Amino acid sequence: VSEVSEMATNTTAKRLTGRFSPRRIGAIYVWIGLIVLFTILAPSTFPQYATVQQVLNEYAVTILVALGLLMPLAAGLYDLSVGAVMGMSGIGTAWFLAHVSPNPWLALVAGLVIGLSCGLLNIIVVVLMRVDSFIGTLATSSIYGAIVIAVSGSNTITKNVGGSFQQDFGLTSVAKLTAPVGLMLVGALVLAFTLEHTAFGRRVYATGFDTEVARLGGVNVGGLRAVTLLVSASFAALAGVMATASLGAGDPTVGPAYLLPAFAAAFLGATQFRAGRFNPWGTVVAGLLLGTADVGLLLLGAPEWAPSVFQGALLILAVSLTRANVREQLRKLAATIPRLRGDSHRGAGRADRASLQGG
Amino acid sequence: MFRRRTYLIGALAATMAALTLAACGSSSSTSSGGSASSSASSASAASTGSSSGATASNSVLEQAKKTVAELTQRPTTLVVPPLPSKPSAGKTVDFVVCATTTCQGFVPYLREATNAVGWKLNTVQGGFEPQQIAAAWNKVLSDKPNGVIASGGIPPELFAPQLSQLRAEGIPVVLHDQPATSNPAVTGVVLSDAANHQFGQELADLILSDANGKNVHLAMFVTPQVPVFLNEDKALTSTIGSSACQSCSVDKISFPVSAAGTTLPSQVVSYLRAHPSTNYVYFDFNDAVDGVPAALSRAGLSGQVKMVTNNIAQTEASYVRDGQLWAAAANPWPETMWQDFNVVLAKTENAPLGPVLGVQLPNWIITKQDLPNVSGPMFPLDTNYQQAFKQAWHVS
Repeated sequence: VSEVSEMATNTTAKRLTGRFSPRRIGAIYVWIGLIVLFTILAPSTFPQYATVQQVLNEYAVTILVALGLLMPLAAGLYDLSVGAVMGMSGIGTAWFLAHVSPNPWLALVAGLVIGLSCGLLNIIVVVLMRVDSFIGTLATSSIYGAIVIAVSGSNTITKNVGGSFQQDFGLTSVAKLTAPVGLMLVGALVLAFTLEHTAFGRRVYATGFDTEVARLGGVNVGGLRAVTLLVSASFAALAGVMATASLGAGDPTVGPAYLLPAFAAAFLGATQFRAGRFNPWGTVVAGLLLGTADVGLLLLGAPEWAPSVFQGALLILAVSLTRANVREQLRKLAATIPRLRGDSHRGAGRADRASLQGG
Repeated sequence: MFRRRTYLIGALAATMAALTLAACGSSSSTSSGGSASSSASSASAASTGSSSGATASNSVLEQAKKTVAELTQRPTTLVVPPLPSKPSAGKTVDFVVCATTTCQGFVPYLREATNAVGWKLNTVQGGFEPQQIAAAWNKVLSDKPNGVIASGGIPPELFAPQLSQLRAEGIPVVLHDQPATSNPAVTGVVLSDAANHQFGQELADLILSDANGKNVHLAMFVTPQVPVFLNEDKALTSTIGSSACQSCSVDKISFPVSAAGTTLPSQVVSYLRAHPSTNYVYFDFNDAVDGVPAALSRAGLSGQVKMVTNNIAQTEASYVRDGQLWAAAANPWPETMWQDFNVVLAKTENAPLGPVLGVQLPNWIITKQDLPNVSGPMFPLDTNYQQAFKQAWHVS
């Protein structure tokens, strides 16, 4: 009995150690480290609720875009158009408010419809025309950028944007947290459930691991990838509407600037909780980590280029960690199943595969 | 395992290097009480200067108040020296347009001016990339126009060979909104250093008189990549940070143009949280204000500072109307376009250039009390400006 009890205790301890291992939740330790560092360096300004509020309110939109990226990335696709889709949706919403109706909810729907239309064009290019997703979405983002300029005439659209629309979606708050924060949490919940607890989610990951194996296993790869592109466009559209509400104006330059932080959050998130696998909670943590670093550096009076350098470095760190993790897992797998030896590249799916291939 | 460690060490080293770089850098320079100085940290910006609240010297303050009283009225006194004779019609002027929204907005006003004397306007898209700029100026050479106007603050060094060619062919070239140049091929620069210095001086006077010459803690968000704006910055720094205002301080925070409307609002919030005694904020161009009022509102900082900017368009007008932007030094864009063409006409009509280049374009500080109806990216400050130019051109 005592042996069994000891074994159970050991197993529980191992499980707990594994769950809190820096390999599994390294970003959380980095995040805690940053919080401690900034608290020491800026004791009068950083450790306040205002900082929590600023990080959440200002970075929720970026995290929304990053969450949208997860599905295509998990399915082995790059969607480089999310920034441009966000810009299209944002300027389209502002145009709708200025020229069609000042109703905030109709404008929200209009923004989402615009985003979904962009998603459909991405599907045509990537899934139907079989253009590599990296190149295809880069091309469509160029088209979306041109449409934004054509629609706005490169002008900021303000008519009816700063009224009830901004109040409802950009300023109204609960505990001083605005609508994008709530949407971010709901989005993460929905994605977590879909990816982890449904057959569809498992098929998405299976497609990302090895497209041919998934296809032979009966997965409708084309249809599944089409859905993932629609999901990313929807999230980008929602982020665009929220950015317009936060700004109080339809700004034709907003959108592309969110691309790098969103990818950084998605890739860094892939190193957390589910090592080597794109997952929503990892993405949320990664986004908040980036936001905390940004706000902390700015509170310290760091130069304007500092957050960009930090984001770039964090992206390198994230991809390196992911590749290292996956390689180690593959080595273990190869050691366990001898017949897989010499064929390790076929299992290099997950975040590692997406980082190497565009789909 | 060795390879994995190499990955980790490399990646961690990159992150540490980034953090070290970030921590070592400084975004701002601080000046106060007349002695400008660079500072490794901007944290002391708001607290520098004397705490006695010494007022600006009376003469400076009185002059500032007088200037503000004049400049908060809509201008109506544009004076244009007449040309010796009516310009002959049927000629052509090329307009090299830069790629910004503001530049594109110049075209209709310049077209109105050229139409007034029966000239034809060719627009040439100039872009911002060196090869685009060279291509645009080569197009101008092949057009062989009677005059050339260019916008956008692009350094003349980038199209120097074409300028030499134009000079050899006797074609006048007028540039606007950029630093003065000694290039003999440039007939004149409109809205140059002095005008931009004037915008900064107007805002400095406004702030000084509002604060009664004491306890001004100004945060200046500036874009060093646009050189002509540096004149505004200098005027503000030299006035607010001068010995005339011992209890005042100026802190300069630079940002890239691309941050406007994206990361800048959060940067402003962070700055104000770190420097709570800041009571005035300046942006060196109007687009930089976009999104800042909403970010301040979300952070509970609305009303903590008075914000001012150079130039005003629809968005900033709505901010002024809602009390979120305190004031803007309006730019006389339509008048500038007509003045550009006026210089070309003066050159082609052999009129003396001194008086023409000396035309004082209108200035106006816009606040909520005198906010006009702004329906586009630009508007005339003096509503009779066309009449003034037409009279000078003998076509009224």
